[in-house]
Amino acid sequence: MIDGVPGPIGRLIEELGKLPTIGPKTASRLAFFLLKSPPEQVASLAAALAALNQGIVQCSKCFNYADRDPCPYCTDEERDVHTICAIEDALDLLAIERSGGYNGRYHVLEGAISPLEGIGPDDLRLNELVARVKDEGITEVVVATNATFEGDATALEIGRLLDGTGVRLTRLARGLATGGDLEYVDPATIAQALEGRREF
Amino acid sequence: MSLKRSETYRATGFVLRRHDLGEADRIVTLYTSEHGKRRAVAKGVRKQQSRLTGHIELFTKVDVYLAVGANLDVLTQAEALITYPQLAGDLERFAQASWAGETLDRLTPESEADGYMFDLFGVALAAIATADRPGLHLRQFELQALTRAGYRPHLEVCVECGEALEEVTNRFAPLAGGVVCPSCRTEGMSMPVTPRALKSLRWLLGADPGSAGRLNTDPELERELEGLLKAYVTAVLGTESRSAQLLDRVRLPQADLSE
Repeated sequence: MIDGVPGPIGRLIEELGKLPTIGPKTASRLAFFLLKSPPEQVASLAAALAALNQGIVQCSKCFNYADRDPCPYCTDEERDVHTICAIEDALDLLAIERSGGYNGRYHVLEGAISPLEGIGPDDLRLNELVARVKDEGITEVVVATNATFEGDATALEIGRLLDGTGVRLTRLARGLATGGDLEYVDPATIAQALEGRREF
Repeated sequence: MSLKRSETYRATGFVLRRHDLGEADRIVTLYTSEHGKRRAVAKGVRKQQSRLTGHIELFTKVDVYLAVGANLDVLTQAEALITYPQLAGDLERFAQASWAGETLDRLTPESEADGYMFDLFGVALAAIATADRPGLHLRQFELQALTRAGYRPHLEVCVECGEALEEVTNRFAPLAGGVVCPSCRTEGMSMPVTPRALKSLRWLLGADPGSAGRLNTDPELERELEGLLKAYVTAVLGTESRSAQLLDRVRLPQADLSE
């Protein structure tokens, strides 16, 4: 228990402090902010927290989080059933959906190969992806891992695993960001942008 | 030279590790020539608009401006000097570069400048990215980096009896710190070391950094050298390198993977 702080607040500070990026100072600040907030707001937060584990399940096909299994993206018949987009994180799904540029299935890998952080190929949902490609008659896998070394390594491993299956493998294009200023762009990105240049 | 709080400084370094922090920040571990290993926060680098992002990709040699913070430095500017796109296009080289980076990270304390170690790593990284037989360059880096850090393996005389080693198959005992002759026994794990592997180890250790490509080898000898050094690095660092596990895995033929 934290000295000088009444029990319930101390408990809240302790619980908040377990969240990522929140240290003891931020945890205390949040706890006292909530203490001063209208009771309805606090009750609403408490209800949202309590409902989290009851309503949400992980989709057994794509490993996205949803209110049912299989998730809506895996069951929606309007979507292209022969294309899978492989992403590192469930949050990436939201980003791709917001773009409106993709209308197929997803597969959340739950990370990227990063030996220094102790994440190897076996920690990712790679075997599940290979099984889906074989079982679901997939014709294209869009590898949308992050544009980092770790994301590239993961893409290479996916390519290796799917080699010989005849599936079309694509990788998101790289280059200049919208609104970017050329003089600030790093050499690797410029090289990739040149490589991927197009007729207009 | 020690640094004071809120002082800003410029350094040249290699990006050894990165991990995400908060909403859009990243913590990068840099091995700099001026101030040794430093950890710094790169703010906002996971956003598209960040001007720093591409400059602090893994294994990049980078010119940085840093401000000294309470625990971590803050990265204010970065300009990539050398990038190794080859490493992003080849899993085996990527795993070997990670192995070199992991070894360096775990051998060195923070804030201890060592220009020689910095150069060793730079030479090794370039060779791992571009040279033939990158594994040999990794071996040479391991031997020389371990030696620099005070873990030089004993390859001339038996670590038990001190007698000069003869040209027979001796045993290599990682925990004892070197080679044991056939007439001595050693506690703990040991493995055979053939005369040609022992000669190769001595040569790699003494030769100029980056010259590993001049060594005559065949796949069998390379496997033996890798096994010996993997055991030695594991003994020195206390745990098996994670990158070594990745390397084993990426070498598996595809048929063995789907099981």
